[in-house]
Amino acid sequence: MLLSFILIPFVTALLLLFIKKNTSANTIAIVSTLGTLVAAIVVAGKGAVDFNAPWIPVLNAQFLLHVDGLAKILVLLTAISFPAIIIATSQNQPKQKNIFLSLLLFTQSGLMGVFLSGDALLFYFFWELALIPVYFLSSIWGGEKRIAVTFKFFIYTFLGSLMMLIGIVFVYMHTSDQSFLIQSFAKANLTGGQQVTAFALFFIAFAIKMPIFPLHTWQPDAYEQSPTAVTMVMSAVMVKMGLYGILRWLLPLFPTAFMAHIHVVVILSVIGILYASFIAIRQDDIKRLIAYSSIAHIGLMNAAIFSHLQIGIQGVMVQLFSHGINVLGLWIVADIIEQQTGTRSMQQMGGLAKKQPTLAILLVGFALANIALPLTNAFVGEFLMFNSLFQYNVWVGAAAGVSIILAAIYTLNMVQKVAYGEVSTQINQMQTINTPAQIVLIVLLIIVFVTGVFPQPLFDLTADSLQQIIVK
Amino acid sequence: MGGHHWLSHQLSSIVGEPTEIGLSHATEWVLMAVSVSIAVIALLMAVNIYRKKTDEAPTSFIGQFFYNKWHIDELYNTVIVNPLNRFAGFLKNSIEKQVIDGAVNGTGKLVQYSARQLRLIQNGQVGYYILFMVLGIVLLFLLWFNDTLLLRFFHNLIK
Amino acid sequence: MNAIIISAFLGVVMMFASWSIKGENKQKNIALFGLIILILANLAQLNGWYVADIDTKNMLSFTRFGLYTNTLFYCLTFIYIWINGEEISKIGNHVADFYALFFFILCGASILTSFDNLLMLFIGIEILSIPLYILTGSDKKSLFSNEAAIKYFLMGSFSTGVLLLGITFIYGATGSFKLMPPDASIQYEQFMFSGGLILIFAAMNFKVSAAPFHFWTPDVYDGAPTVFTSFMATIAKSAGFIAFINIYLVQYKAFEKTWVIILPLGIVSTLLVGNVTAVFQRSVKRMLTYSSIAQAGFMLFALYGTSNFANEGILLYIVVYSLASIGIFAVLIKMKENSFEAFHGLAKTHPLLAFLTTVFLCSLAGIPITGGFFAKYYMINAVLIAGAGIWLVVVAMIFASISVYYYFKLIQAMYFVPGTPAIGELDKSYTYKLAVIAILILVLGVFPNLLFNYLYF
Repeated sequence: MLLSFILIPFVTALLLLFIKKNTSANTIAIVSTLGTLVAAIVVAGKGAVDFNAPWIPVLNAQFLLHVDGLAKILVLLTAISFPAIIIATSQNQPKQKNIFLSLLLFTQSGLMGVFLSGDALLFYFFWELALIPVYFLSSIWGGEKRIAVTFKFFIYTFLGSLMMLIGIVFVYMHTSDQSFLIQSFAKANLTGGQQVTAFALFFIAFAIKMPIFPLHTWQPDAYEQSPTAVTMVMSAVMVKMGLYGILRWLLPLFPTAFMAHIHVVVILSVIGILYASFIAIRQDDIKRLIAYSSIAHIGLMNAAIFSHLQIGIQGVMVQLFSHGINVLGLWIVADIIEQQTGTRSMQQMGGLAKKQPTLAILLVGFALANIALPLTNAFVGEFLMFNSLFQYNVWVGAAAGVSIILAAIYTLNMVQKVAYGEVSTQINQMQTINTPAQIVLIVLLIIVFVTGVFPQPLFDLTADSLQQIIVK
Repeated sequence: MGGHHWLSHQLSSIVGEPTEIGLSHATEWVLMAVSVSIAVIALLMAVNIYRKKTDEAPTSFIGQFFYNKWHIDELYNTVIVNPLNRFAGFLKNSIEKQVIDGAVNGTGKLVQYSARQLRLIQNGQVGYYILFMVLGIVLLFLLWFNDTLLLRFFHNLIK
Repeated sequence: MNAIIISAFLGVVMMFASWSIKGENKQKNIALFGLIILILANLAQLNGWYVADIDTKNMLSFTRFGLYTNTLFYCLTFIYIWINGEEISKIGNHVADFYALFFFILCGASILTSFDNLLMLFIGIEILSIPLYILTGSDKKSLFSNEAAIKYFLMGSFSTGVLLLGITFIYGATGSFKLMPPDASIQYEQFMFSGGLILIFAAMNFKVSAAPFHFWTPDVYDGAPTVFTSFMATIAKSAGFIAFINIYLVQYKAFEKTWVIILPLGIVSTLLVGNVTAVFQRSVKRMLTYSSIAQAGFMLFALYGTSNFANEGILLYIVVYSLASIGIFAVLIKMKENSFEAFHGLAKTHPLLAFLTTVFLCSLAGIPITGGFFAKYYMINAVLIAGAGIWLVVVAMIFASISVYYYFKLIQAMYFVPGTPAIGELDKSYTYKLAVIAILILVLGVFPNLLFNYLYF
């Protein structure tokens, strides 16, 4: 069952290489991703047994897939995001669309692998596998400065993952049974100093991926220059890899080193939150605005993890899902506007509410979720995270709390510029919006409010992981 | 009195039942009375002013002050909005572009610069190459026969 | 023993074939057939079957590891000739002579995998090197080729002199040419012994083009005909590595104390020179020569320890690196010029070829699902197990990410920059042959143990 999460996208991706016709390629991709979604819902409901096969006997590496609450929630997010992205952007016609979709599905396969692996070497394998298709997607189909920007992104994250590789080898050597399994890693005999070394090596990889201030500069550029479908994948799902890595690998494996570094990381994250929020205020490009907003939100999640309190981590687990949904909605709206008006500058937008009332309402809905207004899904997570930061330290909590105000400023500013005011010439060109994209947006908005009002299912889903992490 | 705090139970499963911090009924009555009377007084004043049906801006200082909404907007702009915008602009244009991204791009530039410099050693002259190789051997000899010294040095360096 | 005798014999056969058998294709097929015989003979020795039972007076010792390495060299050469046969025949008039030289190189390589005596080391190195000088200068009409050959010969002779001096020192100190760990029971002159080891170390560094003895590499690799650069940078160089490791596995104890200073210094400077200089190159061929220096820096990690990871790792590294290099050079041969511009738009006109090149480059860069990843992985593991400082690995990985810069510049040229590639005639079978290499790399990238299963059975 678990293997299907990797195989369905992988096989479809291979198949798509040979389907030249755009519409049929699109249909196949949608069917495949919806199939994955069904599988994800089944697994989220019923759970699944581990998949285990020997992989590299000489190294004692195993092909072990394991699912628990944390993995379920991210698998679910990945499974929802991909069909949503493909359906919402199905009107876009990049050249060689079949290859475009194929690479997207390879990414999905890699992401699923990252969230499911219970073996460190396998984890690293998928970690890289998710990255490489994105490199090609962005470099081929991206914006004007795509090559340089994507290259920077690639080298930056590759350097991070190489550090993690050293960390993996380092811990592997110190395991008693010479195995890459997460259980063996957790029992590795590391002295305090060695734990700090391993912690640092892993943390660099995750910090670059999330990204945490000051390692974030690849992100706004990459988001801006990538084709929007890829930007959606990156910001809705890929950045979660870093947070997932911390929750799954860093915190349980190196508790001592983790506790020794909480202050540094929390302070760094809070600086990053405020920093990114301030910069977001001055952005005119709608994609860059969402990018910086995303840096701020991810920074908050990281700070909450490192505050190391049960409610904070609980909040993060829910927010992993919620942030993915919200940011996806924002990106889809931004993409529709960009595709139809040819601009991303908010100066040139205005009057969307008059021209496209439905789209404007959807935009406002996601914008409110981005500010974490009560009754939206983000409120649940952010409330818990702020609560935990306040418990950690009042001043840190207060500083992070300023970001709520800043988020309101830049988000409402965006809504004001885009939705209200005179109808600009660019907005006036907009045609009717295609139904599939609208349906996707409406479904996402329903998820936003339903999980905002009834978050209990999400809490139940992650309860077992929370127990494990906290007990440790 | 008091509404039903249904929202506070929304997350009760996670954060626990909230403790009720209700106000006493007497306080609530006083608060209501005071706020209602202030509102009624203000209403009467407004009716008094607008009966005169003047459309032009008031000339008195106080009139002007109220006419411009207590200058709250201006105050707000000078004290909060403008500094905030300027600060954000400073972060965006100076810190982000030059310091942080500059450090990242600078690393790349440094590699390219050293590449240009290192390339020059490869000048095509066999004589130089052999000279470098001899120097390399000499260096190896020096290292080998001073190893205890060097090891102690490194040891101290790490300590 | 079988391999040494038969490879020398096959070399002679090929020389005769050069005038007795006409037709380049036929000569190539004879060479391929000869290689199969060689592989079989080598495998036969594993099972105790000898062409001739010769008492080597303990000058050669045939270990399972050495014989297996031989097999790998022969297989790599087979793939090399199978792909490049046509191209070899375009250089010079007596094609079979080149094949003869290959067999002599393999003979040298076979000695280097089994020597147990410093004299044998010297003979092996020379048998390996002299044909290489000739191959470098084989394009008689090209001035570059001639210049490169002269340079290579001059510097090669110098390093041979250094090697001989080192051997002499060791003989003077211990009174024996035998490779042996320093033993308290044997009286020897410590100074001379150490001096000899250092000189041999320097000479071996020259052979594997490690800094600061790498200066010949860019000039020679660049000047030699591309098809022979491919051979020199892969199989010939790997043989040098095996010899290097052979010495230091035995002499490891003598080095132990100073190892922690000298080896990291060599590795870091090699990585620095190779990776950083490659960044600036405008010619793909020259970039690849620097990359081969950089890769040597990684292979030097194998000298760190005697663990299984080092042994298996160097074999995996050699195979994967050689396959990828043979592949990428084979693509380069088909280009009309060596610049990056020549590759512009290749993905449009030749999608399969561009994809294969990408696989080769990814493998060189060490990206997962290609064999290069596990090669690097084994090296890291070997070093960490040997107890070296973790800083060294971190530095190496930083250089590895620099290497991505220049490898991916080529991918960018092929995929993202529009243009018409300057590519010559290319028949389909050529691409399919390259696809075989790529598949091997990918298979080793997922199941690296396939390579080691035969090492222990």
